[in-house]
Amino acid sequence: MSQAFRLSEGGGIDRAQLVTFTFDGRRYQGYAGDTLASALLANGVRLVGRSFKYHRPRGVVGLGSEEPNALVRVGRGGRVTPNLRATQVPIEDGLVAESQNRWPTLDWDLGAINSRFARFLPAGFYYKTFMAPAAWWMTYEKVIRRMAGLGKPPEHEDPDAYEKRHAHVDILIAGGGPAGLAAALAAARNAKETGKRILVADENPAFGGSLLNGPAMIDGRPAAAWVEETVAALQALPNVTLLTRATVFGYYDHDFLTIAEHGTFGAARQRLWKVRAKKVILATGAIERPLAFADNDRPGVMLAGAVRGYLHRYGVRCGDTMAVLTNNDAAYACAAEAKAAGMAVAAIADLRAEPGADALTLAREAGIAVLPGHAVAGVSGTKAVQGVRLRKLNAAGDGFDGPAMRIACDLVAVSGGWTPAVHLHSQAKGKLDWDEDLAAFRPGRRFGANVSAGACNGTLDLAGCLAEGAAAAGGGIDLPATGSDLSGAPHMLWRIPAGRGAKRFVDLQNDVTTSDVALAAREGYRSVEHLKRYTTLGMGTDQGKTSNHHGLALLAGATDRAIPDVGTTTFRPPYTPVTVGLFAGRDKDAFAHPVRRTALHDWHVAQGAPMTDAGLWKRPQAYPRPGESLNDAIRREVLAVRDNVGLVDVTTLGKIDIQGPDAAELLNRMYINAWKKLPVGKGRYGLMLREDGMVWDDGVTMRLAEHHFLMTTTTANAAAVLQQMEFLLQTQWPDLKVFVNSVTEHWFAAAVSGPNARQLLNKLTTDIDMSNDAFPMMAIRQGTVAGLPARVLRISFSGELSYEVNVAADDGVALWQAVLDAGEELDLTVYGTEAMGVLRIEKGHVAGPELDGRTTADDLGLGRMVNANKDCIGKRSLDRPGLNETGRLQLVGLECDDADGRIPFGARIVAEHKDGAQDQLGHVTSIAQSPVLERSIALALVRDGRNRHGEHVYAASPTADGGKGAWARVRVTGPVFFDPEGERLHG
Amino acid sequence: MLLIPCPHCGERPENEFSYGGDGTVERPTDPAAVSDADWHAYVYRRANPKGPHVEYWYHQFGCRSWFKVRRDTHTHEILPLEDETS
Amino acid sequence: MADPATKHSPLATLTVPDRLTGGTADVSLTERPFLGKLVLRGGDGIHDAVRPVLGLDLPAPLRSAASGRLQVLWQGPDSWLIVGERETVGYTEEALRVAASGLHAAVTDVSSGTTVLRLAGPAARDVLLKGCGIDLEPPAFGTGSCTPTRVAAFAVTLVQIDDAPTYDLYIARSLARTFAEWLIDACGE
Repeated sequence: MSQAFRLSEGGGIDRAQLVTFTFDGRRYQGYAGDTLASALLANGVRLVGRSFKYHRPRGVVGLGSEEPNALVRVGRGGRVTPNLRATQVPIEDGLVAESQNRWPTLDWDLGAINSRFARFLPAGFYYKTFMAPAAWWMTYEKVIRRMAGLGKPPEHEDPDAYEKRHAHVDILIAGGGPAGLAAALAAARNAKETGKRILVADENPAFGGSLLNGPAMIDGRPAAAWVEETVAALQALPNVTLLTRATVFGYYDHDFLTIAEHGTFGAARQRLWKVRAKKVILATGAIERPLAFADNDRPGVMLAGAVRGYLHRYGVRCGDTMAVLTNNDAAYACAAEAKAAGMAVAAIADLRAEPGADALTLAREAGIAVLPGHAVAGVSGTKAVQGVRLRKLNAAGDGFDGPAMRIACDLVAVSGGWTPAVHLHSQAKGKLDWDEDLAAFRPGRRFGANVSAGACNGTLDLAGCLAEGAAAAGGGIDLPATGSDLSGAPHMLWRIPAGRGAKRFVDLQNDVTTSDVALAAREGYRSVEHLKRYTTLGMGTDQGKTSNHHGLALLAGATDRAIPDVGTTTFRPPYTPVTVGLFAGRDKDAFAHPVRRTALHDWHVAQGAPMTDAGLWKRPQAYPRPGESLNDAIRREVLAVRDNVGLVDVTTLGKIDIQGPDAAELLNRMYINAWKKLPVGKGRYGLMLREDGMVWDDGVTMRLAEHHFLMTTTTANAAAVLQQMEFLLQTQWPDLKVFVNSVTEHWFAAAVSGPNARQLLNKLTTDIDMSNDAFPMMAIRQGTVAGLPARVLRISFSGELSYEVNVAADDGVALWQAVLDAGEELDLTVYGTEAMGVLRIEKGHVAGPELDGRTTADDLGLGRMVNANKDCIGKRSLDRPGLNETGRLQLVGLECDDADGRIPFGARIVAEHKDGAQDQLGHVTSIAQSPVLERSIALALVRDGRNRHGEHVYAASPTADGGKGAWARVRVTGPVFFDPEGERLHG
Repeated sequence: MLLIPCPHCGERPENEFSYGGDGTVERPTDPAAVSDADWHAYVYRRANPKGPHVEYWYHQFGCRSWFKVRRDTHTHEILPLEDETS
Repeated sequence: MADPATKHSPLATLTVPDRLTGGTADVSLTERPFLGKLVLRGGDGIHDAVRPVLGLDLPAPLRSAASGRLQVLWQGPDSWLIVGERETVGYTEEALRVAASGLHAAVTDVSSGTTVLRLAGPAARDVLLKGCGIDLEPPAFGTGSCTPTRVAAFAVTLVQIDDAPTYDLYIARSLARTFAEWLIDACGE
């Protein structure tokens, strides 16, 4: 391709490096240093997208992050990113980009028919049309979704890596234009002694900001040379970090800012900076405003500053013949420089009756015709500008006088003044003040350690920007400058007269017109926040960077208020869109919810055990043998424990070491039962409540010495129980002399359970007397097992004779192997969490599903544990009437009537087997297929359950069996199905 | 992300902490002597002020201290604790 | 005592890429397994009581201290971690109990509860800053500094050993594998 609109020289591009890319399937060439927008413009491509609502043809409008129209989808497969601004996408060989909001092609778009029915698509259209009946919403939504554009999300998982970086800096400078660079220079000079850390970030590929858009002189040198020298000097300093293609997109509490940086960071292409700054200098510049004239959205209508930028940054002419519409002096330089570069300038229409004297001189010297008090009355051409009609405005500016002049042109350069980019100031909760001269909001009272400098502070002349930047960083440098001013107060005409039916777009990205704003005002939307939501003005991915002020001003006009009385909408991060992957970085999957492993993890996995989640822990469900189903394995494992001996990894239970003279007192206050008389070497089962009286946690706590206890918590609550104990000790009971430490991680724990458990352990220990008399139930002994220092607890979750052996976790593998070796001749069976669950359900032991935060000790049949003679957390709440009335859900067992039937998972308990509504009596909490009872059993919470033992009810789940639903007739029993007297424990 | 002033570790990022609720709530020393209404208030009722709020924070990823912070719930400014009564 | 050969560190089966063990890289990652570790808790009088046993002063907040055979890490206002060879720590445990008897204090063996990852080299700080939100540059944090903090989703105790910089990262045993994998990933290519 020819790059017919590329100038023969100039621009910061590398003409030695030709780059080939495709746009909508067509191959184009540009140069290294081009953006997608500049390369397309160089190739004469005008049409780059379709608009959101009316699918009108659209072209590039801006130069950088303010671009509302040229949104493209870049990349392929999982690497695709929608809604990128073509003005910010650097081209590289092989880049694949597509336009958006069009079907089937950009050139021939069926959605454009919306344009013909535009009068049926006014503001609030969705709210008005798609209202009723509610059931139709599902249909409406699909239609709306297809027609509403703004890009398709990627269809595959993102294969890319994203990097993160925390930083603490003394000074963060957001923006590397004249004000930002001057600030950096001053900051570096003033930090020479202190080595203060300075970070400068700019969203563009190169520093310089507006200095790159045209000629200027700074400190006696051309601006470009000054930028180069300044950047080189800063780069040489160890305490200064310079980031390009790095957008400061968020300003959060306590001067925490986020930066999205593009580049190469190891395997990643984007990096998220999380910066805590002692001081922030905001030098984010200003955004040029379009003007609201008829058909101001046609491809070829561009911001004058952008036209100038393409000329100087990229050596690109945005057209052959240009007409200019302006309300300030800035656009004159654009016109003069364009003409000097070989473009034709048909005329400058200036809304002002009296343009600035310097501007007029500039035009005259360049030989450009100026039409004061004129405006664009219409644009011809649909997919590209072919000409404009210029007319003289009447004195009031609300109509035209005299005939229209038709001018042929393919480019309309527009300048409606400059809007300070106050986004970061506002995100930091700073206030905004209306500046009548600028016709814009500028930073008012600030919040946080920041200061705005330069154009973002409303200072538009170059010397002023440099001075303000330097002053913000402590001053000490003087930078005389001329040229490249954005100066001249704009004459705001928020709505330029137009013929009936002509569209004057305010928000190009969301297709909001002047009429939409007027309609919203007529319908009573006086609040700018309401206007925004009703019309969607400013709600696109650009957050209305080029449209907000027009929206506010038109609403103010329509409601007879001053603009500052209308106020502004809230600016929220991000300044420009950020990919979700950037926030996640590497902290996803196993790194976001870090996997916890016991010492035996690798062994479990090597056995082929399916692993299940227990909080962050991974635990083995069961150990199926070759050819064995999971259910078969569970059954085998349960029967092995009941009939012989089994081994299970129980490391994950929480363990808290409690030491101090008040240790027993602390336990008394934490648990509902009493602890002071517990003998050394013995333990008991404890139950903990929340302060509202509901059961929170349970476990066995052992007394190791007079002032030393070892508490066991559930796996799930291990951290929370420790946190609560620390809370109480540090804030409520500081008088208690007791220290608590988590020792969960230090210990490996394995339970040996079953009638032959003692026989097995006897083979492994010589110094612990395992006999029933010497080592009774609920006792703890210290000694060695398999030669390893160990604590052995005689406790049982399975209901069988059972010992829990604790060794230091480093010894876990050795202990396990020794038990396996010793168990070989006893046919020891290793079992997993599923068998453990079946064993505890058969015994009616409560666990997580029963401790659901709504059950009291009495509900669970444990009410007798509450000690009457002391207080504990939650006890006072037990007196509340609601916890004592009849009709509470109580723990029961359920046995399936049909030996081959199954109690459905999560079933509701009802009295009758029938369709239709009936009262719920309760719900199933845990189910098991009991190998001992040879039937399906369950624990359930049932209304007045303890009085229903023997009754038959139904367990029903409408969602079981893939939605078909399932029923089971069940008999209500006590919760203990097996060995209710506990004889086996003491064997 | 807020900076929470831990009395032992200094200012640290908010994600090292967990929030512990209203710092003015004290557990009654003799719950049995407390009326149902007062107990209910202690367990359930909390003010939700816009402005200064004394609250507990726990340095979960740090020194494991519980401490009080006076924070403006509107601006997130951290205020001196000694002004608690004002 | 059990044969140390039968002990297994939580990272026994982890493979650290050669580029992180070569010694020439910008950053290296090694495990310091099987160290003995005690949590010492104590209030009034604890400093004086344990000084003769440890041969050093308990470190001030956010600091560590080391003698030839023991390292002591500040963990909280009344909490220190005492680290050394297993045998040394074993003797120390008994001696501390005796020294602190009569005081409100507690000594708890947590040797197996954490492992130590040593991250060293010119790029070590940059690797940590990928997940750690505290200021790690002097004067905020330098050699001898020590703090419990957060790296990505992990609670670690971070100690700076020297100006290389070299860091020791104490990580809970159950999370050690996942954390080491996070570090290896963060060390990049």
